Amino acid sequence: MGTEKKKLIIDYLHEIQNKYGFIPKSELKKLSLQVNKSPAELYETASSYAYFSFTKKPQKVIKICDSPVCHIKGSENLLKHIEKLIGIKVGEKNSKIGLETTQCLGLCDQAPVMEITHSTGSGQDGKFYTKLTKEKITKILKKQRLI
Amino acid sequence: MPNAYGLTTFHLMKILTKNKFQTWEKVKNLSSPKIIKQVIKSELTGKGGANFSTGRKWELSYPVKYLICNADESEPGTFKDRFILQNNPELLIEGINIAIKALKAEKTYIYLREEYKSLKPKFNKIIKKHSQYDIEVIIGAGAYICGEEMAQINSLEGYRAESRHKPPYPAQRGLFSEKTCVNNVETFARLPLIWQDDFDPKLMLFAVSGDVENPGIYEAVQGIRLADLLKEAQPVDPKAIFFGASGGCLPYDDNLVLTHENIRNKEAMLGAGGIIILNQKRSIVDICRSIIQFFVDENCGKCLPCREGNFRLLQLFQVYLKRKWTVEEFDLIQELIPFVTQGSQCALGQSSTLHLETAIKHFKKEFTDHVENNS
Repeated sequence: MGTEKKKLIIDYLHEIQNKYGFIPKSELKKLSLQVNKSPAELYETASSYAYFSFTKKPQKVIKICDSPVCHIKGSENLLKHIEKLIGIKVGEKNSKIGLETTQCLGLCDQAPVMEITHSTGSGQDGKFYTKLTKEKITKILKKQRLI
Repeated sequence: MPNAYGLTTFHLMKILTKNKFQTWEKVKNLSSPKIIKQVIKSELTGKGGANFSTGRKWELSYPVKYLICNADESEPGTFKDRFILQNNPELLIEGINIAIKALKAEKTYIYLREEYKSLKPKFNKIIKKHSQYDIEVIIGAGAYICGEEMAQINSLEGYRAESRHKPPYPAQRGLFSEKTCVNNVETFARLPLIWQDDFDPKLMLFAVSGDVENPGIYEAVQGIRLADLLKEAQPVDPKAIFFGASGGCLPYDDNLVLTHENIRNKEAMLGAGGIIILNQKRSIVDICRSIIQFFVDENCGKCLPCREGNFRLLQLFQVYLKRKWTVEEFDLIQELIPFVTQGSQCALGQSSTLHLETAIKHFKKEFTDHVENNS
């Protein structure tokens, strides 16, 4: 209604992240002029969120939930299984794929779960996979042509 | 009506089929004081965990410039807001309409967690069709702490995802230094039900997960026995109940009465109704390790006791995977608990070691079995 639409810093950061797949320092400099905040302050803000990154992520990232509920449902063993399948350890990446653990995805009723994010030119899509087993993971990764 | 889980008939969902936005048609002609009075009379309380009277909060806040719908649910074991967001977004928007009218809010933000962002287009459509107010959906960026209202305000203002000191409370000086009211998704969704004859303020959603046959969302009145709540969920050989990651734990007891007061008297917290059941085979020490890892990963880093305390605890809990604790190490674990609890600023930091405190209290032997030379 009456109030004018005010774009928030977090909206700008999402835009940059979605456009480049990460937040380049040069873009923070540009943004700083636009919103009248120093690049250092913008960096300080952006760095406090798990979703924003400062290096380019591989096109696909497997994020396996290791929150308490997924943990008791065997996420650690699933993670080892994925490491073996794709040949990289958690926290590592290659040109094609990255492997990370993540905290609660809000799908505890369907634990254990993982998300595979896919960076496109216009953003990052995530697909959630639930009630995972080793067999199911092997099938998913094959279908995604990750193994 | 059948729901997404095919289990229980939800009071909260009934309105979806019966009379979408009909309450709003009635309420929109009422004055603000009249709506607030009705909300106070209804005894509706906040469903984000604090259980404070929604009407009283509004009375203290009125009028506000900003209204915030906290849809940043990220407590492990809690997924009730997702259930509403996915299955009955209309009810949420209807509740927000009522709140805007009551509080004279000029601008409303729905702070939606990043993991739920696919729901945004659906919300925009409903807002366009059913609300004449300025409501904007903002996507979070994966920070647990932003579920805490002051951190959420910080985030909307473009600052770090970290809490800030209260007072001033949002009702005094909130978003962009203006008067603000923050309510939880379920609280908004229950608002339209106040005007129904069969409204019951004690009804709340419980998210049940862990070692049960049928995990999912169950609606029940506060005061229900644990065994009755879990009748359909069917716990399997249960040993312990964890109230999310931050609500602490209790030994499983069929007769445990689920009210905020009763659980608080037992030094745990019912919070937002996240119920994680653990069976007899689970290691309590191991789930504590997982919860500590959660609080290290999701730490905003602002308060030293929470930041360093949880990190040191994690180091000690990684030790136990390789060898037993020394007596000194186990003492240190117990010393770190009050250090974190008493030295942290926000409610999340203060409750980040409650799981450990209650676990050591109720399952001490499982811990001392991991201490060397323990006789």
